[in-house]
Amino acid sequence: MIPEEIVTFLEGATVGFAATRDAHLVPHIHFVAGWIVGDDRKTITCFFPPNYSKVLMPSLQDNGQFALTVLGSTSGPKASKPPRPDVDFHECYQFKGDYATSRLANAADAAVVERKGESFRKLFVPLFGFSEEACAARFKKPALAMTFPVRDIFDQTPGPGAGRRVET
Amino acid sequence: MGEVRLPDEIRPVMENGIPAQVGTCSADGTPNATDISRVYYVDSEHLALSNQFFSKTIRNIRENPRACVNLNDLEAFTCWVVHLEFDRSETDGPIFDAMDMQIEAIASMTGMSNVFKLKAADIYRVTSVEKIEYGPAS
Repeated sequence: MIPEEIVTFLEGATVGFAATRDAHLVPHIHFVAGWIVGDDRKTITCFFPPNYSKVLMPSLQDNGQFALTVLGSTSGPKASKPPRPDVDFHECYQFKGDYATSRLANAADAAVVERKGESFRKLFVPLFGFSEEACAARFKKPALAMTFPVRDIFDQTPGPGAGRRVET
Repeated sequence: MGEVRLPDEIRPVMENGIPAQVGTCSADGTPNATDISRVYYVDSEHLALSNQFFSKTIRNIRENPRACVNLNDLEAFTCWVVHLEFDRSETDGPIFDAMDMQIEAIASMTGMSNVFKLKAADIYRVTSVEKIEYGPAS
């Protein structure tokens, strides 16, 4: 079960990407526009944009292996009190598991992605000087929802503790 | 198979300050995804990734030399997908020194000088490069 404080982190986190691998053990990276934790806190559903990689589903159907990495700030177990946005952004976790199901994304999924896009804009427009258009293009209405049961969680926050397995 | 060369237009993307994403895979087939502050241009056929503390990435590369890097150019609505194969690791020399200096600069800016420390410059050969466009018209 995903710890409650990690669930809180996932709700506030803004950047997500995933890795799969094909039958030849070649890794592939995929942009993830949004995510939501299942009610039982055992699964995560990821939302992919309309132009998601053509190797995503073939890789998942070949071997099922999936790794989701999420970066965020402020609300996770490592949040500073008071918040320090300049360094707090570096909180990061990786979630590994096997592909379970996929379906077309729906309106509720689109609302999740829209909220992630808004958080992304608030955080990165001032930090990197991105334009509103650039942010909006990254968070289009999703096309695909993919669910996987979380097998392992790893703390990937930069530093000597990176790679530590989180108790679930 | 012919040599794969990086297009000139990818070089500014490596230097735009936006973190890149790195995918690797262990020998038993478990993928790993991590981000990295930047990717370094070595020559038209090679890139370098910093070996700091992303130990799972390094362990995977020692087992399976293939990697995938996504480079992001948000203002151009573009993502570059570069597939790599590990070539060698350097712990001194001009590539290492240049990366060490730039990592120290990034660490200073983010208040993490005591966390970011370059162990080695890992050099990879480019095996494929693809430009993905996702703009409003895509």
